[in-house]
Amino acid sequence: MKRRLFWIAACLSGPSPLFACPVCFQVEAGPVASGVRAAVVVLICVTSVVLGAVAMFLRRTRLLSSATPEVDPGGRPPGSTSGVALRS
Amino acid sequence: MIPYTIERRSDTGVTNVTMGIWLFLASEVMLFGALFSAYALLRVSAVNWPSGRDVLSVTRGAANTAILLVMTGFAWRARSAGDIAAGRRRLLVASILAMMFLVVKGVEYSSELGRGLVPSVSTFLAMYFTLTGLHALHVVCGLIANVWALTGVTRVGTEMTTGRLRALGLYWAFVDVIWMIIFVLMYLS
Repeated sequence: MKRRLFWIAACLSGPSPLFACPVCFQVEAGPVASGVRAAVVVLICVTSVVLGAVAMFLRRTRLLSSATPEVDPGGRPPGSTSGVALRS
Repeated sequence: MIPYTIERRSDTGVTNVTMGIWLFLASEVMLFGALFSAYALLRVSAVNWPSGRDVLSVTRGAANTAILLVMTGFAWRARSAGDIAAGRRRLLVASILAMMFLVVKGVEYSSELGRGLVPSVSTFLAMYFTLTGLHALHVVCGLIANVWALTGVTRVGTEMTTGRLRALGLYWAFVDVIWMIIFVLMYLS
């Protein structure tokens, strides 16, 4: 715990340029910095949508698994891969 | 043999086919998302960005949009068709329309290359060829998947084919949405 606190304090007390974005640092008014910001916003939006969908699916899965019994009507536990012949 | 290709899993509520196609589409969203992010970076930071209306053929782009919309309609209806024969017919029409899309795209590419509009000319054209080329590659892959689903009925049966048609419907809807974004970004703005 002490070691963790030490590292957190060491990081926070470091010089501010260490935490600067390597692309935007000192070129805040330039078109490249604006472009990088726009690109980051787009990427964050796309990633948020995908992660949100995954989170919704996991929530749905949890609700389903809590609502259904552990063994399905076929006698197999959920996720079992053995003894299944489905191809007709 | 992959289990739960026909029956739904009790824990996920969907078949493994549906689960697989959604995971695949999520990875595809990330792939195109990275490219759209690169587009935003290049466009916003560019001092001079040409208008797509001046450089590209909006008519051909609009024609391809219409073709892809109708094609997605057929592919989507194939997944909800009552019987497998009707589903196959609709997928066949969707495949023909996808081929039409590729033909129009090929004509457009040859016209642009003939005018000397190659990717090395400008960042706009490099982005245009990257985005539309990758999208066309997805259309080609979808066509191959369509043929695979159409010819596989006798081997795997109707139930499994129905699952494949559902997955293909989702895939084509995704390809359509991506094209809409490309059309607006590259042709109209």
